[in-house]
Amino acid sequence: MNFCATTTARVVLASDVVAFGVERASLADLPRLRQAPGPLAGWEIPKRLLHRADGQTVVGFAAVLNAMNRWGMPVAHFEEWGVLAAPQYPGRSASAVALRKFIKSGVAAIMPHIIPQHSLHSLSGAISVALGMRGPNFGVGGGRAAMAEGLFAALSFLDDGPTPGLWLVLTQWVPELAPDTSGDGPDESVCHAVALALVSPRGGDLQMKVTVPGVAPGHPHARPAFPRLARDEDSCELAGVAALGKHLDSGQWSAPAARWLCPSLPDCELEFHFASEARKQRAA
Amino acid sequence: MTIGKEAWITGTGAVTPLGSGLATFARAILAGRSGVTTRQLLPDQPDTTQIVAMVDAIPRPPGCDASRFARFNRLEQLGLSCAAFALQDAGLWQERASRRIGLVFGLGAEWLRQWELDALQGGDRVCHPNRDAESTIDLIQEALELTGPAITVAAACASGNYALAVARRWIERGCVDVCLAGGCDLIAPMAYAGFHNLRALSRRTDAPQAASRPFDVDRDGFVMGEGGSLLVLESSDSARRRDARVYAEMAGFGATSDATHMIIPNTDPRPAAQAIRRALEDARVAPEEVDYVNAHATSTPAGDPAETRALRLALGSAAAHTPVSSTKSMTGHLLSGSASIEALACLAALEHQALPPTINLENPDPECNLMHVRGEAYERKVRVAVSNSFGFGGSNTCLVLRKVA
Repeated sequence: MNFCATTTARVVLASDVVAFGVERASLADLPRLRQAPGPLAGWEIPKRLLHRADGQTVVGFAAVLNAMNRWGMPVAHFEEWGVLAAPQYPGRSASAVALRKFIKSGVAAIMPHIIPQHSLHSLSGAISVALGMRGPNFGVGGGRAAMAEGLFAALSFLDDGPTPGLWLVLTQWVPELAPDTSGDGPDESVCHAVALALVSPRGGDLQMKVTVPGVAPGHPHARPAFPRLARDEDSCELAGVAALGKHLDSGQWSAPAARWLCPSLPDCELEFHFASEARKQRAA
Repeated sequence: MTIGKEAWITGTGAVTPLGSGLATFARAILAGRSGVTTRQLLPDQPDTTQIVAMVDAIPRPPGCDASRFARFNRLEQLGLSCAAFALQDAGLWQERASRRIGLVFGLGAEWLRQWELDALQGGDRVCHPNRDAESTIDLIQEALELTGPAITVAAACASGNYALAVARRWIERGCVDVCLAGGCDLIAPMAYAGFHNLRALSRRTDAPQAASRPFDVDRDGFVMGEGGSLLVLESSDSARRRDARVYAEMAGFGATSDATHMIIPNTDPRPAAQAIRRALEDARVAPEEVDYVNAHATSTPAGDPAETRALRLALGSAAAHTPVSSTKSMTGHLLSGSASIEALACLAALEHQALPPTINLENPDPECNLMHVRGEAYERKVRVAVSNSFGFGGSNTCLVLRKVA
C-alpha cells in the first residue's frame, strides 16, 4: 500500500517516480509540436490524433514522450499503465472560437470534436489512445487548483492492484491563455507540461509524497486541523507546473520542490527526494 | 480492505429528469416512466424542437435563500442541490462543518459549460481568465462549509464512477471519514450541437419518448439528458457509530481503457470485459452472484452491441440469466451525470428488491442478446448490483454495489 497513517493522524500518500519528462511550448511552437511531438522508437503514433487536439493535450503528450526518451523506457513497458491528467482550463482557445461561430452561424458551425478533444478527460484519453495504455484514464482538476488536485488524486488512486503504475500529466499555460475570438492568445503565453511515471513506493531513488492531516482515530466528531489557505492566483501560478518543471530540470531534487497553495485542497506538501547521485545525473 | 474502512453509502441527493430525490426517482424508473420530451433549444433554429430529457426545477437546498440560490448558474445549482440534499438525507446536515467531508465531483466539460452559459448571456468570460477564479467544487465547499479535500474528476460519461472510486480510496486511507461523490451535467445548446454534428443523437423527432431505445434494433442514437446525483460515502465504522441508514456498500470498482479511439467504442470486447471482471474481483463477487446489471447502453448503433459482447465475455455462462437493463431509456443520457444516477438506479433496485426496465425495447437487436428487463419492472431478490459506465477517451468503468446485511 502507498500510505501509512501515523500516530499524529497524518496520512502520507507516497509514490516512487520511475521517470519524468518536461515540455514547454508557446502558441507559435504548437503547430510544430502537433506535427512532431517527439521521437519514439518502434512505435507509431496515430497520425491525426493531435490534429484537432487542445494545445495542452499536445504539450502534455510531448512531455510523456520526453520522459520515455529521457529514461530509455519503451512504450511496451507501459501497456497496462493508467493515465491521470490534470490540465488547467482545457479547451479555452477552442471554446472562444466555437462560441463566436455558434452565436453567429448556429449549429452547423460547431465542430463535432469540441467535446471529445477539448474537455477535462481529453488529455488522458489521447495519451492512452496514442500509446496504447490500457489502465484507467481520467482527468482531474480543470480549474486553477488543477495541479494540486492532480497530485492528490494520483497519489490516493495509486495502488498495488492490477494497474502497475500511473502516468500523472500536469499542464498549464503561464500566463493563462487569454484568447481573442479567433482563438489566438498573447505571444508571451507558454504551455508547460510535466509528466511523472508513478509506481507504489518500493524504495526507489526518486520518491514523491504528499502529507495530509488524517482523520483522527477515536475522534470522529473532532474538526480536523486542515489549514484553509487563501486563494492566491500568483502563488498558484508561481508554484505551478512551470515551477515543478524547472525544479525537475534543475536536478535539485533533494530539497522540497514546492508547497502548493490550493483553494480546494488542504496544504499538500510535495516532496521529491533522490537517493542515488548516479541516477540523478542520468536523469539530468 | 481494512475492517471498518469499507465504503458505505449512507445518503443520496439527486436531481433528474424524472424528479428529485431517490424516492421519486425510484418510483419513476420502476414504473417505466419516460423523462424525455421536446424543447426549443437552439437559438438559430427557433422553429424546431429538440429531443431532450431536462430538469424542470432544481430544488433549493436547505439554508440557502432564494436570492442567493438565484445567483448561481444552473450547473452550480445542480451540484449544490445534490450535495446539500445528500448530506441532509444522510443525517449529516447539522454536523457538516464539524466533520471532515470530502467532495469528488464528476464533471467532464465544466469550463466549456461555464463559458457557454456566460456567452449565451452576452458575456465573453472565455477570453478573460481572471474571471475564472472559482470552480464548481469551490462554490459547493464554501456554500456548505465543507472542510475536507475536494477535486473534480472527468472521464466523460464515466466521470461519476471515477468520482465514487476516488472517494472510496480516500475513505479507505483515512483522508476523510465522509465523502460526497458523483457527477452532474446539464444540456447546453453548443454541446447539443456538437453531439448533433457527431451524429450521435437520435433523430426520432416524431416520437420523442420512444427515441431512447437501448438494445432495440431500431435505435438510432442517444437522447441528451441533464441532472445528476451525489452520494454520501462513509466508512463503515463511522456509519455504525452513528447508527446511520445504509443504502449499500460500494464493494468494487474496475477500470480500463480501450486505447483505440477517442470516440468510437472498441469492437474488441476484452478491455471493457476486463473492467467488469476487475470490479467483480475487487468486490469478491462471482459472476453468478450478480443479481442485476445497469448497462451503460446509450441507444447508439455501435455502443450497445459492444457492451453486450463485453458483458457476455465478462460474465461467461452467467450472462444468460443475469438481468440487464438500461435506465437511459427513461432518463436519457446525462453525460457526466449518467454514472451516478445509474448507481442511484442500482440503489433503487437494492432498496425495492425490484429491477427497473429498459423501456422502448420492442425488438431486441440479435447482436444485443442479453437477459433484458423489457418494458416493465419486476420483483427479484437483489443483493449485488453492477453498473457499467463507458466514456470518450476509451474509458471503461464498472461499479459493484452490495446490500449490507
